Amino acid sequence: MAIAQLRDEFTGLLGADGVISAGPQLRTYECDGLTGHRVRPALVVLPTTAEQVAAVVRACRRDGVPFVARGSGTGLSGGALPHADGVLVVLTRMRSILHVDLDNRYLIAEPGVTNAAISAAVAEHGLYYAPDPSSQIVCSIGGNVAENSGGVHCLKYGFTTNHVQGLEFVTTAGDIVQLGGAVADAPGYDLRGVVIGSEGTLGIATKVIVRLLRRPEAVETLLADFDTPREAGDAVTAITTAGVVPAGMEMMDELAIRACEEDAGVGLNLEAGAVLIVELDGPRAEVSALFGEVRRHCEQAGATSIRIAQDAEERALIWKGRKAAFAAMGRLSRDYFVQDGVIPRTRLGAVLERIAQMSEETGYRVANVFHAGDGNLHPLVLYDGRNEGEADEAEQLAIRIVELCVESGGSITGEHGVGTDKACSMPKMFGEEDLALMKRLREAFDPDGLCNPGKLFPTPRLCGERPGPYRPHPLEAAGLAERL
Amino acid sequence: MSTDTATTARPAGLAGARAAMLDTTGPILFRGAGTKLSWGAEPAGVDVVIDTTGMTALLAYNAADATVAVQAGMPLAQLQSTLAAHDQWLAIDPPHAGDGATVGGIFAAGDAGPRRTAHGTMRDLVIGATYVLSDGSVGRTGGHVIKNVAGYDMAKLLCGSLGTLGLVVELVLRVHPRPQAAATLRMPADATTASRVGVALGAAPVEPVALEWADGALWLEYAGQAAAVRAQVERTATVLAERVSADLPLDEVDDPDAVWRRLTDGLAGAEGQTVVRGACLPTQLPLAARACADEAERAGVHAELQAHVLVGVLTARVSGGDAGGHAAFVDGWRATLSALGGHAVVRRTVPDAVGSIDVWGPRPSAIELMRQVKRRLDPAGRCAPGRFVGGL
Repeated sequence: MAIAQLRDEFTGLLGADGVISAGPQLRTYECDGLTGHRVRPALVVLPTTAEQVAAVVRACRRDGVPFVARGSGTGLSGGALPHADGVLVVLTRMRSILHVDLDNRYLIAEPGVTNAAISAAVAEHGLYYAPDPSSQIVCSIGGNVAENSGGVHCLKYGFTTNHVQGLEFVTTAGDIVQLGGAVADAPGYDLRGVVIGSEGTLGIATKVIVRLLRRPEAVETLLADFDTPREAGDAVTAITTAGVVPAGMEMMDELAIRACEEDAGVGLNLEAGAVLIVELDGPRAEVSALFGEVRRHCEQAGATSIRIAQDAEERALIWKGRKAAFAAMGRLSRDYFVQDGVIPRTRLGAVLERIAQMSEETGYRVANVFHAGDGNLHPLVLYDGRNEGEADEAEQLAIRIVELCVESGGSITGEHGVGTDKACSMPKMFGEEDLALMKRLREAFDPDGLCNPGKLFPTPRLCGERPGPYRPHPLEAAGLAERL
Repeated sequence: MSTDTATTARPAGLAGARAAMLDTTGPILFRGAGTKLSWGAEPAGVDVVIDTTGMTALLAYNAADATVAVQAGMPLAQLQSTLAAHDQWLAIDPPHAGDGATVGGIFAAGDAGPRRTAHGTMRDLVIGATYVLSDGSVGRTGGHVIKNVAGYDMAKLLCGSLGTLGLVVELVLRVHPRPQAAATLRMPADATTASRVGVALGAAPVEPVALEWADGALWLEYAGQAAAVRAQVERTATVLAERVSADLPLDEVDDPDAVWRRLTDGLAGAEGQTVVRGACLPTQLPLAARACADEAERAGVHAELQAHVLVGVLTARVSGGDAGGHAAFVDGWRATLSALGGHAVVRRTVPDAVGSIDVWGPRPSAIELMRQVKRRLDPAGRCAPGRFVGGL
């Protein structure tokens, strides 16, 4: 009843084409990048201004209806999974770049602007926006804020939280406030810092002020082959211990190499047990001095061959191979789970060997792609969903791998977020009291618990349910809703 | 601030700090070395001072992972010497390191120095924290790895909160390799030239670690591989000749440590001064500097201005005149900065102006959210009540 009234109210506010309440279009929004979890929202709205977002939020709050913000829907933890009885606030129509200040090197974008569009807008001036998640062509800056997105270059340059200076933010009361700003050190608590990475549970960003960096003078990239991931791991430790902070340092194991090569054909060595991509950037003299050192460390760790990108084109090709890794996995396996865990990078060799053992014990192949410089692993557990029980077993393996990361002193997630996917793993990393205090923060922002509920924190309901590649929503099972 | 009637507890760790907080129901003030007690407004009262200088343990240091965990009372200087043995450093250079300033105090105050230009502030270096709230709750946030997005980043909230939400007892920090070489250049510059140099260097293929404007001059530091430092020094001369002025005298200083110590000390000011921390966009520096001079004249005080040019962060040291003059200067300069989209906060003032000078200025638009955060984390309002913006 409340939803029907809200639909009419929002149609008045946003126009008929700003509201989706039925039909196949709703289905477009039933999941994000974590496609195993699907929920059809009761209502989808597509606001075009912050005032509209605020009005939608106020109406939801008034009626006690949950709301969930969504950008491009590329998130991998189900952070933008809709609420069955709630409103999905889709921000993709807010996609203007509002202001560019070249001298002070910042830019103000609406939340639906894609990550790549920001860099493209200032490319002619030699500037760019540093965080570069693999989905950057599609993913939105608002989603990056929600997830504190990283990318392959965040080892040196940091994450979204280090590059977003300010937000215009719609509170759960429907007020529009400024958090941080283009000017440094805004007085008050650093609410921007806590909102970034809060996975859409504290409110909705409607403008994002990002810092722009000047493109580095020089970039050098090498690709080194190793017989084993442990040797590649040794090279990583040697490079960082020597005091080199590469712009990016990525590793792939044998299975991942095979998938990438079959997909992108960039010339990876199919005989290698692991490849390491190391990229340095900065002033030319700095890069030249350090690049030789990196090369020497790779050789000393046992690199069997080293290929150096000769030009920007070859560099782009190498990165294309790396960024294609997830998509390429379809060539090796019908289905796979992407895991996202972090370990202290010095534990890399040991953890990889343990993952290989676990793979052998369970009979499921595991391909490894990772941001080696910061210890962020992306093991991919391969399975065939057509075979009864495989999805569950593969998922169990994926969960055990992430638990191994925590036991090794790391984290359950380095960049994909907790969302729906890992809410039940939070107690592996945090104690009850740690989580209780985070909930107190949440209550400060969202006293009624309407803003993206059911994410991030473990709940008996959520953690009692079994996720999977696809299972009918309880409403469907009860015959109260259906899939189109 | 007055803590004359308060009792002091000096716990050795988490359990002791928690016990001290539960020992009383009155207002609490957290202090490290006490170098920034003047920051913020006067708290409404203090029953207990919890002194962190007994919590100085190095909890874990893994140089190969470039992370270190310390108790909050660890003096920064002590940490830096431990890290230096492994050719690393905590990439922050705030004032008072020589006075025993603690890692936790620098974190709680959000203090930093000229090299924030390249390395950011404590908010960018802290990857995990353990904290105690006034009701005895103990929370952990983050972890021991640089990349981690699990849970809310509570450390960001506590950083710069001046101890008004709770006490940080342990911090996990990201450390950086110490540069092999460094060089400092000096050139005479007024505010307009300083700003133009900032824009020119921002557009050039050089990476300044710090660009400080003070005493009618600009001080520029490069650091890194020796060859790269030399190359950037040479490039700077070319860039500035092309884009700013052909006859800008540029000298390399031969006592860089002394120069940066003096510039960093300048950020703290001294007794008898009011120190105002202002901020504006980097290119607005000339307007902010003009307003600083004008308002000083109008208020009958003397004001010296120093700026992190590439960050747009300004420090005005006010001396002379009377307490009313200091307050008038703050109001006037703040009005100009506010009109530019910036702000100004008083970090210390002369005794006669304490209590009457407006420390924080206008309330931020998100004050209601801030109030709710304070209410949830410090429900009884015991942590330095009234010290923070908006009377929080």
